[in-house]
Amino acid sequence: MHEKVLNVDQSFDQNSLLFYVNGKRVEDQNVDPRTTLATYLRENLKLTGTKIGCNEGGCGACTIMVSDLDPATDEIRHYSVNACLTPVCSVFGKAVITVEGIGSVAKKRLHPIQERLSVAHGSQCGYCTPGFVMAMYALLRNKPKPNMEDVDEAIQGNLCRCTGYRPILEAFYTFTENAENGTLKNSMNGNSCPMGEKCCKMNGNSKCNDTDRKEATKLSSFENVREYDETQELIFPAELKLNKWHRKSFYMSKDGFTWYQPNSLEELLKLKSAYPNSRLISGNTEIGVEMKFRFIEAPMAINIKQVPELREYNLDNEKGLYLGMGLSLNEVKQLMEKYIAKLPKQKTQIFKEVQDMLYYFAGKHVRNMATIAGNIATASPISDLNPIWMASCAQIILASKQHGEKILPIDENFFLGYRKPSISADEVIKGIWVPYTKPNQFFRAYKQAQRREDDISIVTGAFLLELNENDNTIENLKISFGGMAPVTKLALETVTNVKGRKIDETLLEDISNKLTDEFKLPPDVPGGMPQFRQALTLSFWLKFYNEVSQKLKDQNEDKHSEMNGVSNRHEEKYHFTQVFAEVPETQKPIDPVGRPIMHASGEKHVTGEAIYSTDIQVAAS
Amino acid sequence: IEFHGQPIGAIIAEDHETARRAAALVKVKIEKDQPIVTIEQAIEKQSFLNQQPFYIHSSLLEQNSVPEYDWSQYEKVVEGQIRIGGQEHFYLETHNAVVIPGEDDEIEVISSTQSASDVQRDVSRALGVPRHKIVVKVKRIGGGFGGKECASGLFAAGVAVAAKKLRLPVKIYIERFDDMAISGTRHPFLFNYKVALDNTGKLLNFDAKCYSNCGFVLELSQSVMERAMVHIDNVYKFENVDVCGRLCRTNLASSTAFRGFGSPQGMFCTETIIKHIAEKFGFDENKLREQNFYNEGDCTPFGMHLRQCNIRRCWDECIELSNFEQRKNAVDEYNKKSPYIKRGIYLIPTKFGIGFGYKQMNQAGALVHIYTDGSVLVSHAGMEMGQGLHTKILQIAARCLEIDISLVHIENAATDKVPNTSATAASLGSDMNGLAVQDACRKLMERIKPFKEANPTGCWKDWVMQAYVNRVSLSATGFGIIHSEPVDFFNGKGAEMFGYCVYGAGCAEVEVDCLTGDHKVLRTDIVMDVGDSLNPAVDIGQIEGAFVQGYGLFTMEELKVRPDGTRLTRGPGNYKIPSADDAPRNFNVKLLKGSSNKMGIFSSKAIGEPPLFLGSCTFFAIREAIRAYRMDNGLNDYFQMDSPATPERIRMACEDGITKKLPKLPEEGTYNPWIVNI
Repeated sequence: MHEKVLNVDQSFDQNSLLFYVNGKRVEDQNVDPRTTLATYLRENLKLTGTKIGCNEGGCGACTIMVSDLDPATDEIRHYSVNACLTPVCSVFGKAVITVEGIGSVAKKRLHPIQERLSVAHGSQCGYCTPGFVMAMYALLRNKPKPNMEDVDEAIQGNLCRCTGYRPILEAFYTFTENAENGTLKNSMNGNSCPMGEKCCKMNGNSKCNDTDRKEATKLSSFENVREYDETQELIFPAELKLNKWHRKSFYMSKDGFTWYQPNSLEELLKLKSAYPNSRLISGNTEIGVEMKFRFIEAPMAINIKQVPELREYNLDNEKGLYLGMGLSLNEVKQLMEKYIAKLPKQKTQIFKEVQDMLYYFAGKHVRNMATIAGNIATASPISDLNPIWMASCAQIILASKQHGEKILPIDENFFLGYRKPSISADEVIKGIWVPYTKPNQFFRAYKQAQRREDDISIVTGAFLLELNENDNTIENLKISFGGMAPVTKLALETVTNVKGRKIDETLLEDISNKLTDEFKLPPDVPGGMPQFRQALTLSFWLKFYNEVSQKLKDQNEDKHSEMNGVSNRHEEKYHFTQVFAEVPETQKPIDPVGRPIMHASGEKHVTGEAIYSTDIQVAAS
Repeated sequence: IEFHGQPIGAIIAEDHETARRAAALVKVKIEKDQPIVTIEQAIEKQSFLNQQPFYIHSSLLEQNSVPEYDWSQYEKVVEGQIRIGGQEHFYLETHNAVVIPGEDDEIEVISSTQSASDVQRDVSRALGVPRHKIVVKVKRIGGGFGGKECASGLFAAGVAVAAKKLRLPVKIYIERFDDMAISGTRHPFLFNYKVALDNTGKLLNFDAKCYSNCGFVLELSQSVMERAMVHIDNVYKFENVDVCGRLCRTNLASSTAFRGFGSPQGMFCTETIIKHIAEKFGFDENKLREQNFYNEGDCTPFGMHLRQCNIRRCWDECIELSNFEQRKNAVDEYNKKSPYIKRGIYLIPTKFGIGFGYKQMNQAGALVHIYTDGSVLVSHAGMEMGQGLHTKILQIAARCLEIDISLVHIENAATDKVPNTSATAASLGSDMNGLAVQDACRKLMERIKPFKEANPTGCWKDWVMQAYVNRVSLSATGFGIIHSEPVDFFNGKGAEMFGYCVYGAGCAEVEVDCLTGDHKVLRTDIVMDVGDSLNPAVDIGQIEGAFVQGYGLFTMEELKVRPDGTRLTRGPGNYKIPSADDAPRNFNVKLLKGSSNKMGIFSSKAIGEPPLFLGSCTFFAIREAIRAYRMDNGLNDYFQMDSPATPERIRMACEDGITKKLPKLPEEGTYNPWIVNI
């Protein structure tokens, strides 16, 4: 198969892997393309601060930051990624920052993130800690004064099993715009006592201090921590910029495994046509896991991320928003935010649902790498997004060398079977059109998972309702569900004969009954939970119905109905107290017992310098 | 083959990935047999690991035989069943070991374990080499939670065989995907209970049958069951208690230690009973609790007298800290106005006995060296797994030697420094090792004393140097034991099992979407009795961490096993531990003031496990929200709700017009469900 394209390695600009790690140049001509960045950092570069906790992008212990130049615009980008999912070949021409690159106990200089996290007692076993540090680092590199929601989002993909997160949040929130001199402005209303108004100090008695030991309400003080100064950060390596490595094509082959990185759509289509069995990789969030745990090998991988044409996007007055498939899910989310702010609200209901769905789509590090195309091509029946595309009549553009471009709606015929989309082997998903909502349309999507954050859905439902502008009767109703069949499924039976009907209780009941019939799951259904999943379809419909009726009632009011579910995001305030007795005043200053001193390895946890048995290298003979 | 995921061999290769790929090519020919997976199947097939059940009979504390009770004589009786699922440890660092062969038979093992001596024993057995030639070293481990108490040897021993044969250093690193299949979980439990009380709510008689799903081998299951049985009283005084425990042998990975060690399961049963009584007979559950709390000096069913019993203090302070009464009213008001989103608020008390069940394990050693520059190296029997043990030990050593803490260092825990150690478990790390280090330091201080007296204006370094010059040993071992008396579980007669108990109370408020089963914790308040804290930062860190881990146990953490025993939950993709988003944004922890523990080092108390059960207040708060929804739908009776409160359980318990529409599931056993309750 390799002979089909003669001298393929010569047609690429580079066949030596080159990238930067913590400001140092790394060059390697002999890399197995299956090697992940996490393994390469730990085994080849001996940078063991980056930990491997799960090897499937689910725990964040391996979080690092990648800086690169956008192949379409040449702008510098900084983003967090799971090094365990990132093929080392995919950082060709990029700069990687690991926990070792930002601070060190040995060099007596901690990064402000590391300093505050250790001061906050934010590490216990320390194994997740470098990942949290780097997740926060990537946030600050993009936004030196973030808000609290930014912080929450930045650590979505990081798990900690020891601390319960409170001290981590407290440390990271000190970087937000809500903080001043390290303490939060609106967190305590001036009194840190958990008793609030009942605080004995406010009531004039001295119950708190009735012994020789004073009562403290905070374990950590951030008063003396260093300010964060973003001008002190590592600069982007000049060589990468000068030589325009982000515009180069790259090829690496070892032991029968080949990595292709084309730098134009034409090259990409040529490769895909020559090697129809090759796998397209953007985030490697699906294929990486397949290779790792199901041992499904991908002898030929094509990285689509450096193809400038796939990074295009534009707004069309008629067709909606076009998104190139090289855009990451986070970039898509940001575009949605941008256009939702710009355009009339009524028009961008689908954008809004995509944006909201993306907030809880995997974790932020996965979203920095993964693409819509990957999600569509994987054709998972429990995809969070595919029900939205189906109910909203989104269309994708497929491109191939032989047949050029074609446009294909994601409708009831798109998914042919379990994990089988209507895409031929030589085709590439080039982009997607996300439509606007019309003035008399309502669009909503709902997802329920085992856990809100970083979890795939149990059932996702999307609803599009179009009313007749004259009498508010139904013009069109589309309902689609993920998690109810081997494919994302459109409710077809349920919506027959709904045209012309009113939005009333009878409709609610009829649709509920029809959904019950159409989405029946056998008791032994794969994935289990047959009753729960069926209940969710009806619950989502009830929520949608209630929201629409509410809106029809208060046409002018923009009420946030409680039907939306539990208050999804956290409010911009928090209240954390830790009440304990300080040591008696008579205790000698040198005597440390009873004092809230930092974990003896706290500073080594945050810099990744703490050594675990996994970090010990055993040389191959 | 006993279970899906059982290791059957190892492949040694030049690197980790090559070895894994090679292992995936191995074809194993196995004939399928009918497995025993669930507790019910084990009971039906009489598949038990203990031929005789374990018992506790409180009546044996005062008389020689167990009386028969006529249950019809009681004014009120509740009877029911409750189950609680297992829990994956999900330490962030998976199992691993490095084995380096030395001269002749010598072997060095660097292991991620909670129990260096057990790894030493396992390697010794595997190699047939006596233990003095095997050194196991542990610097720190990336989380343990009980999961690295027993299983570590399995990996280290296999690698040791390879290292010895090849005469090369060999490393093993277990992928999360495999670790979760091989290494076992918390024990799932099933309880059948019967409780009698009088019309005033006084608890009279309690009969419980406990079944645990142990997996294929005994391992720690007996101890776990025993701890469940001695915590099933939680904080309540019953006139009579009869508990029976059975260990179910199933074709699953061996269930093992997990923070709490059976006690959360036992106490969950009790708290379910409190709910059952309150809902069935219309009692206020908190008044019912207060009426039945243990008092100072009361004796537990297993024969322990409770001294310094601080349960009421923790409870009252938690009510105050959480502003419970006012917020309960606010929750009720909220629920009246909100048809589908319901809130719940709930208080939970807890008690935890400190000590290993096996008497001989309640010992620890230490080795303290002072070097002539005044620096001190401390070694002790405990492993640092993030719980801050080394930090506390450094504090203790600095106090005992009256020197600055920066002069004290701990390098690692190693079997050549302190032999015959117990696992770092049962929350005992600082209690036992603290005593041992204190003992060693006392010896050293006695030796240094003459030089101090001779030169009172001198400093530590001077005295140390003088001692050295005068040929006085600057190295000492220390030893510590803590109280323990064995309970006779074969006959059911109790004893003063533990030296003391740790008490606490927690309160959580949650919001539940009754249509989808989604929920969120809005606020948590905890009051914990830790004695005089050795380190409030470490102790509060343990409380917050244990709470969130307990919250995971009782809500989103669900082990999924297919009817044929195949484990589906093998990574963070399908096994969900709490994430940062799940942590309450209003989280208050208070250490009970003025509680100096007479039984603990420097009046402190153990802390690792005791707070974990408080995580269940989220479960019961969710249950309150569900109850509010059910009552809107005309369902006022007690309903059984097993743990964990997954979105599925929550939604299906919220019975309404929607659940009525759903086709009923056929009778159990007539179809092959996706997963089974193990």
